[in-house]
Amino acid sequence: MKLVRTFACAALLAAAALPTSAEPRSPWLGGVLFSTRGFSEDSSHAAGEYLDLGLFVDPFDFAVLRPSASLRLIVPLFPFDAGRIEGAAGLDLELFGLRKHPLRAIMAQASAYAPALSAARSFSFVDPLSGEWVVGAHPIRLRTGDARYSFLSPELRFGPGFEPAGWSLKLFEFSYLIFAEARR
Amino acid sequence: MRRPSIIAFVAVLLTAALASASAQEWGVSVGSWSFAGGGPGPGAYACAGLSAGLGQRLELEAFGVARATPAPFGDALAGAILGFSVFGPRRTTYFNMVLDLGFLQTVVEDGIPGLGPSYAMLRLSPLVVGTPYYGHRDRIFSLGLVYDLGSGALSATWNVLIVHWYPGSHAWLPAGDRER
Repeated sequence: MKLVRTFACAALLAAAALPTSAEPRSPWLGGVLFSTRGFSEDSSHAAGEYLDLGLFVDPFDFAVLRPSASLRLIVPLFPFDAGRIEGAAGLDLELFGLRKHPLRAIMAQASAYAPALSAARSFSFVDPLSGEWVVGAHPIRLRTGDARYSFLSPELRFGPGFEPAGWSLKLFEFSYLIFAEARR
Repeated sequence: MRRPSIIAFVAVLLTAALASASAQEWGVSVGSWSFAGGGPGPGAYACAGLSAGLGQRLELEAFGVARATPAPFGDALAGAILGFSVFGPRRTTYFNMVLDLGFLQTVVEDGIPGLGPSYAMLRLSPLVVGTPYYGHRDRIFSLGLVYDLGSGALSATWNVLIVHWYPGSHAWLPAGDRER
């Protein structure tokens, strides 16, 4: 009985993850993102405001557990320090999309509340092996037809040997879908 | 120096209260904030405020700024800004530039509540996209000078993005485009 229930749950999840036939498939493949963030006192980063600039791909039109990937530069912006620019590669997993949400009144476009989890690996361009592992959450994240807006996203950071290395907080992250799939 | 800063703070609050009586529309703002070379020190700060439109080109905003990193809420400031729309009226000029004259009062310093240093600020928002009429107005890459009224030191301030939302202005949207 337990096995049947497990299979039923798995089948429901798989069905929900398939592109919905009632809506047209999104033509977007990826785009650009930017965000601002800061780091905790016990992290290896100096106090200041950091700007993320990057590219992302969001090729799957899943209703739940929608994955996307990003590649970004993390720039110490204010005060600016070109010598401490880092790179990062990451994966996001959007948990679900909820069309009827309390924040929809502030959006000019139709939107969905779409919280996500994230994991990334940051690396220094001087010493690529000295980077950090990062896991995070996007608890306040909205998706529109051509963008994703995320606010107050906390992250936990771990050193190369997975030892704790402080935390960071993204004040906001805006992602704009600008690359479309080639027409068949 | 503490007394003049209290007087200035109260004067700003009174001005804001009086101005609200003739406000054309209300707005809510959220954004990021940074200080460098002075002020409460480097870090990532978040800001939030309430604004009121005054006439064709002026907007008064009362706001708070709180440190988010490296020590959350280690420093906090309250302030007010009078913004002048340089390129044209606020409600009809979609791409604008705004010049701000502001006052900031430290209300939490190193984690301890209480009045601390106060600052005068001159800030330029070179790219302001949107209008109150359209419901959103975003300031991008604002850069300012901060003058410490106590020590006379000059420093810089920076906002990557400040989003303004005007709850009462959605007349432009066709009814079918909104899910209410």
